[in-house]
Amino acid sequence: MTAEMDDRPTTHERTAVDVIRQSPDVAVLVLHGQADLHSAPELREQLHGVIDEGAFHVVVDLTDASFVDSMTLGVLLGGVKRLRPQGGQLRVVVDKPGLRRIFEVTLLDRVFSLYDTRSEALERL
Amino acid sequence: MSSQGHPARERLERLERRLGPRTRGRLVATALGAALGLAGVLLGIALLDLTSAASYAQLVGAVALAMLLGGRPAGVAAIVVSWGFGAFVLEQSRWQPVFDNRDEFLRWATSLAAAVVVVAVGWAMRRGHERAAVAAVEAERSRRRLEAIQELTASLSAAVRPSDVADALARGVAEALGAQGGAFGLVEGDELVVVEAGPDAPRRAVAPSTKMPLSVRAPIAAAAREGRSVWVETHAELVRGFPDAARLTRAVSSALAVPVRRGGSVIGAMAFAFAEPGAVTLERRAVATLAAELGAQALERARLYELERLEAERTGRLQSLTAALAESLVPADVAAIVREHGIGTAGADAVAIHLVSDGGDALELEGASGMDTSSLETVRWLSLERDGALVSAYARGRASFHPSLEALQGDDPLLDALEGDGIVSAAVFPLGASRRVHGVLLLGWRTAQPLEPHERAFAGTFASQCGQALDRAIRYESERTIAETLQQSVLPEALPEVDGVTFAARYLPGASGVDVGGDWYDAFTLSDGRIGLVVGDVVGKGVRAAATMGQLRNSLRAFASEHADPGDVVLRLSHMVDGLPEAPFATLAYLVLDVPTRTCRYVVAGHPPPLLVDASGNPSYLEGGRTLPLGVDADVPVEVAEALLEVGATVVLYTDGLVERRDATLDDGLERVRASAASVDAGPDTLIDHILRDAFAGAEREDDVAMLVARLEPLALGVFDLTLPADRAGLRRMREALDTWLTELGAEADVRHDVVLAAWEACANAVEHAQGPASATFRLQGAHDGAVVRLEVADTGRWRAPGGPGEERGLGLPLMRGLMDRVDVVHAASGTVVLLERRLTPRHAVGVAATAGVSGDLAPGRRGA
Repeated sequence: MTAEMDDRPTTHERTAVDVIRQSPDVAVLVLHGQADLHSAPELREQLHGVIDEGAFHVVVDLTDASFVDSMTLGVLLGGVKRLRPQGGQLRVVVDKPGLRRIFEVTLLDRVFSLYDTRSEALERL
Repeated sequence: MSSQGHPARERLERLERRLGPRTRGRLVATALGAALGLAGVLLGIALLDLTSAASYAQLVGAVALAMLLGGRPAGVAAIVVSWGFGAFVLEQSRWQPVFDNRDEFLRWATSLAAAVVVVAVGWAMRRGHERAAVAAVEAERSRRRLEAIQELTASLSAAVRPSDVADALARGVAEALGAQGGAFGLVEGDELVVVEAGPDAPRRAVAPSTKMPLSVRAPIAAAAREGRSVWVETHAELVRGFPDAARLTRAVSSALAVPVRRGGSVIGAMAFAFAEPGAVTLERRAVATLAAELGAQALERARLYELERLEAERTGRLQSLTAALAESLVPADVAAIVREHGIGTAGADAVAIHLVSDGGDALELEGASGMDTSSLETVRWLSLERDGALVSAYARGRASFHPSLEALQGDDPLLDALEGDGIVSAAVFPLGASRRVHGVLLLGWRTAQPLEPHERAFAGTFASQCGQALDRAIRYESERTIAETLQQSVLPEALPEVDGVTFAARYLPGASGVDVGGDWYDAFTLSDGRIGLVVGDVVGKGVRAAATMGQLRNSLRAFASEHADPGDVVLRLSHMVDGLPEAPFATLAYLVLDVPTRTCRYVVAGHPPPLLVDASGNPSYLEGGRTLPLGVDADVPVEVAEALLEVGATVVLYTDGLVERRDATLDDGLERVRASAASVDAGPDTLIDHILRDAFAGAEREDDVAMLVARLEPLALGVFDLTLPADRAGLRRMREALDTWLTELGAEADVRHDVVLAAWEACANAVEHAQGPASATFRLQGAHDGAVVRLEVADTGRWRAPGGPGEERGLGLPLMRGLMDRVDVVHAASGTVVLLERRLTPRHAVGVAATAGVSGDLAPGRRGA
């Protein structure tokens, strides 16, 4: 249908990725709103960006995300693949049971380390 | 016969007149005086033997007596006879002068002187007395005439009708002149018609009959014919000069006739008869001439007044006719008014109106008055094939006038109808306007009518008024039919049937019931399953408004199918209206209802705000989304407002006819509708009736009203069906709609999340597959049996291996499997179908391995496919 509607973001649909560089080694990516196939390209770009810039450990904070789909999971998985050869880690902060279940049912909770809060995730880095 | 003329002759006439009547009496008196004088002398000599002195004294006495009896001529005669005789006869038989001595002569001379003195003194005294008497009489006469002239002037001034003037002239002037009687006549062609006259007998002497040829030998005709005053002094003159008049009466001795002129031409004459001869004095003629001038002026005034009055009366009658006709909007009404007003307004005795038949092949009697039904039988239905006055007037579009029925053809059915009803004059007019003839009008009179030009003109005006009204009514009727048809064709035949919404709509025409307005409503389903609701108003009435309305309606539907955003639709529509010739003023409220997500987005372009009644029954107006009326400024961006509509909420769209009343403000109207909506808890149909009833309680509906009401109902349990465009927006709507449905099913948040995410994955896959035409869609159907929800996602594309950066894809199916109790992917010829099933109770999912771990094979293959 319409290009107009696609170009017309409304508040509750906006997705954004904030990047926080904790240290040269550690980067935090904060996802807001709908983390779905439409926001996946941006997430991918940011994730690859911080890794390429030398971030060793990446924390993806989903506390403010309301929806996460398989495409987002795929991007995160791709991040893990990039970090792994360097021994880096990708930690996920997820507090909502619904979102946590996504990781559980796909067994990705075994691939990523899941944390309830960002501070916990950053604690042992 | 005499006439006005030379001054010398005038003087002679005056002299003659002064002497005339008294001449005979004076001669007698003079002779008597002479006889008296002679008798006195002889008596003195024979019987008394008087001395000369005594004799002369007696003679003087006789002279005085003669003076007394006969006046000056008698006295003089007595002196001549007596003193002459005395001078010669006194000396008996000598017949010679007696003056033999000086004394004798002196006595004679002295007595002669005394007699002369007596005569002179007596004459002087008598003359003075006579003069005084004559002066008094003349003064009285003048006074009376002056009075009569004043009275005449007054009565002429007061005379407003020609007949009043004629009466004042014939009677008033006769009185002023002291005539026995008179007549006033007007020239009509070569005849003179006496319009007013005094007593018959004297009148005949001057005007022998009441209608006579101008050539008649009578004073009145002569004055009118010759244009000058005419008079006779004696009956003999009358007999000689005017034999046609004189033989009719002997009582008239003199007569006077004067012409009456207007603007140089003689329009009539007045004539007066007098009993005594010689009555036509200069003064009388002057009075009569003056009266004729005054009369002519008065006549002219009266004529103008009469014309004016007639004109005013006719205008008044025509005005009331016009007023009555203006109210009539259908041909039958016009016919009824012509029938009712025809006799009074046109001044006819009978009126009949024929209209052309539906088939156009005949004239049909529509109505008549003043005529007997039975006599109309022959003209009840007149084939246009058959000739006749009525058909001819219709066919040729020309009026015909029949002062008598002679000109009608013997086989004209109209002839029978008229003769059967005693009608002797008739006029037939075509009824219509500018070459469009719709029927004929017949006017009939039972007394012969000359049907002169001004009467024809008036009757023609009457017919023309009726014709125009008829034409207007016929055109109005056809326009109304077209407009009604247009409007009915524009209003949707049926409202869409959509699960989760109930509709009701009404269109009420304006109070007059005859004007079709430009109000409309429409409801339609858009390709993405949303529903467009619109109510609009094109200012104006009739075919034009209805046609514009149709254009708007169709354009809106077209734009709505292309643009999801109501703002874009309204902007396009505004552009379109702006481009129309004679851009109409149009307003509308356009609302797009998304039933699954319970939201609506709306734009109100110069239109009253829609009313939203929430699920609790609280009404409030949707005040957002306001923009200018269509076409006013098509460059102003249109803001779209959004509102949430819970299940049970009702949105009411309407046109201004609902809230605008002549006796109340718009705010009053809005409040009335709001209060009405608040006072009832009912479905759309009942609500709409309730609001309409309250809105027009105790007031007449003036404008037309269109209303459209939509109420959001709970979705049918277990059923969910949504077809969406295979794009990003379609996906988002799906997510929201499904969540809403699940919420209404009572699913808990965790379950909703799982199911929505699973459906999202399935749909996202479908969207990814959708290639080619942008119109590709996917369909999500849902079912539910109370415990289990079953979803089916179908696309028109091909289920293919996930592409793109390989490792990022492929988690969709494992995720679905992990979230749902059952996932099946079925390939069909038309596309791929994914079946999902899930219990509604929350559960802790048992993980299904999506990945075997973090080791290399992270790219999942197709599972279950």
